[in-house]
Amino acid sequence: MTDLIVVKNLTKVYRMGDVEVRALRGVALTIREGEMVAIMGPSGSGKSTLMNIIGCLDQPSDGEYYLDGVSVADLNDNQLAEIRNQKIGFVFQQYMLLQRTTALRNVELPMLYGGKGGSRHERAMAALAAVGMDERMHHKPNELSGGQQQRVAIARALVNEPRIIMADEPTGALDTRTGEEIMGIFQKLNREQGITVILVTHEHDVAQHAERIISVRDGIIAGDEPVQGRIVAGATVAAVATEAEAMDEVAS
Amino acid sequence: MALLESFRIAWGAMLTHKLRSLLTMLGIIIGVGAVVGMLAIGEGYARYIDAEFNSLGVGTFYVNPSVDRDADDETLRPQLTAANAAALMEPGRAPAIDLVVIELNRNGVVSAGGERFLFGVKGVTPDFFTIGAQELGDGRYFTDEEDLASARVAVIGQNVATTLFGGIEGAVGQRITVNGVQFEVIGVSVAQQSQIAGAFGRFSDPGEQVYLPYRTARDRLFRNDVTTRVDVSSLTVRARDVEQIDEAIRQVTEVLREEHRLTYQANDFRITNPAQLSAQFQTITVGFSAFLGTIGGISLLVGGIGIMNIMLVSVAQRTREIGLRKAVGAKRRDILLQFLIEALVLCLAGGAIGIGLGYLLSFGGTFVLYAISQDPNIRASVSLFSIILATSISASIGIFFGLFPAIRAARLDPIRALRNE
Repeated sequence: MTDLIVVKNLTKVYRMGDVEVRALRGVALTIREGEMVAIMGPSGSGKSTLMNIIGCLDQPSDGEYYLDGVSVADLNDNQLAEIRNQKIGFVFQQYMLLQRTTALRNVELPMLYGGKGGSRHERAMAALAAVGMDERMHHKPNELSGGQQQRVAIARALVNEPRIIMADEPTGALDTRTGEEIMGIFQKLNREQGITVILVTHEHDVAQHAERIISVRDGIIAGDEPVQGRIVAGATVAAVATEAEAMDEVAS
Repeated sequence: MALLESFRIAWGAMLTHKLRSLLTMLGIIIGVGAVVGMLAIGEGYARYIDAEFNSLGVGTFYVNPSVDRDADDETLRPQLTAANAAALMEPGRAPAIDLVVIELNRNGVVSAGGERFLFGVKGVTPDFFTIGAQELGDGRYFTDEEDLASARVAVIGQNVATTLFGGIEGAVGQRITVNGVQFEVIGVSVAQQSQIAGAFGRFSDPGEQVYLPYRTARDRLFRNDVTTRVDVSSLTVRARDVEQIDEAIRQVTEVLREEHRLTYQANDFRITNPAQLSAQFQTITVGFSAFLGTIGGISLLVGGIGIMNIMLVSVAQRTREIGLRKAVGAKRRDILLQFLIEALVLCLAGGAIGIGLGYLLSFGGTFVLYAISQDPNIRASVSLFSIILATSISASIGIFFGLFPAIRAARLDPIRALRNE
């Protein structure tokens, strides 16, 4: 397996008025293609900053970052946008769906800014099918449960066939059971499509779904270990989907 | 990002906030409406003024026996005669003119055997009836032969006919007396009063006149009322064509000064050119247009600022959306274009409604113009030019005032935008 993400001596300094905040103080890290990694750490540890840099939303103050062999530190705004569009899929805690827009249109969003050819509609439908949401593609977010909204968000992250999915507290707003189903989807995507998944979380239970946990503390990497006794969210995605729907119906 | 998609999003955003969008557009609507209405009404008014001047006779001007009040020479007395009219028509003397009509305007006591009425009496040469908007209701006009023979024939205005005979029908062939002299009615004129003739001293309503051949009036009715210096009220002169009117005025002045043997003195006659008044009327139109144009301009400015304001609000409210779009790969240019197109769509929609308002204004203007002119052909109509103008103004405002909010949106840092609550 090739090294997809290589980070060397990464630092990030913010200026807040007169105070300099050193969010990252020399981080070195390698993530290989097809890995499923959790980045853990308490708030203020620098894990969000690390995620933003790895996700090409932000640039490091110093150090090197190679994504798929490309030196990200040398890229401009437009090139970063293109990398996010083509290589990275984001999943957020708050889903971040456009409220007045159908699931299908939400999933089509990344393709508006650059796609990989083929019909937008068909590719969006395929992505929705992959997370078991194809039957609700014409629903708007307020007609969907939290778990369903997060599935739509995952479909949106998938639609441009990224190398990496970055999930920032993807289960933070969900109950345990729905969260488990969402984790199941990530594991399936990682296992069956070989997509590199990076979870950012402060919950140990969530991190245990990954193969490897990277702990960040005070701007440096405090631990980097394979997971002992990894939790595998059972069931196939399809079964999970059916289950979720059944549960939503009970809930409503 | 595809432009079409941006327009679709912008259209959707506008429909989502219908009331807010409408209020935002108000300035644009009023501004565009004022401009479109102004152009329509102004053009209609200009056409009306044109038509009025044409009804006086194209290329005509007037000569009156009159001395400038401010003239230093107190010995100067007004002078103008029928002989002057003949001199003007002598071959080669004033080649730029093709017609001179003599008018002698007085009042007379008119009767058809019963009650007696006071009406205007106009002694005119027959060519009078070939100038301007004349219309014969019944019978005929008199001829040059009848004028030369001082024939006792009369053409009466329609109000005279109604007063004396209860209507136009049956008036022809009747006998009337004017100041005790008997005349045969040979025609009834139904010419309309010009709305603007009063502006240069021609107040008489054609309907209230009795028209007699000039020589009949001079020799049979008003012999004691004319002098050798002044035996006409005015001459109406027609130039060969409209372009030659200035040359015609110059030639007429020269001939009259010769005839009156004026050397160093000022003119003892006055020439009035309606075309100059026409220019003054057009100035009024320009003033009116400038007024509405100013209202339109201020409204458009205020409207533009309103658009900018609401776009800034929109950017603030949708910060997270902008963050998300950037996270999934939107470039600065994409965001810039999206918000610019939203401002553009708002302004164009406002412009479209404003054009509708302009149509309403022009309908109102048509009513007013009709009330003034009584002519259904005079209407305020919205031209294609003003629609194109309004559309391009709206689009320019959208781009100009939308640019700042759009730049602000495009520059948002995706991380902060995503965290925005």
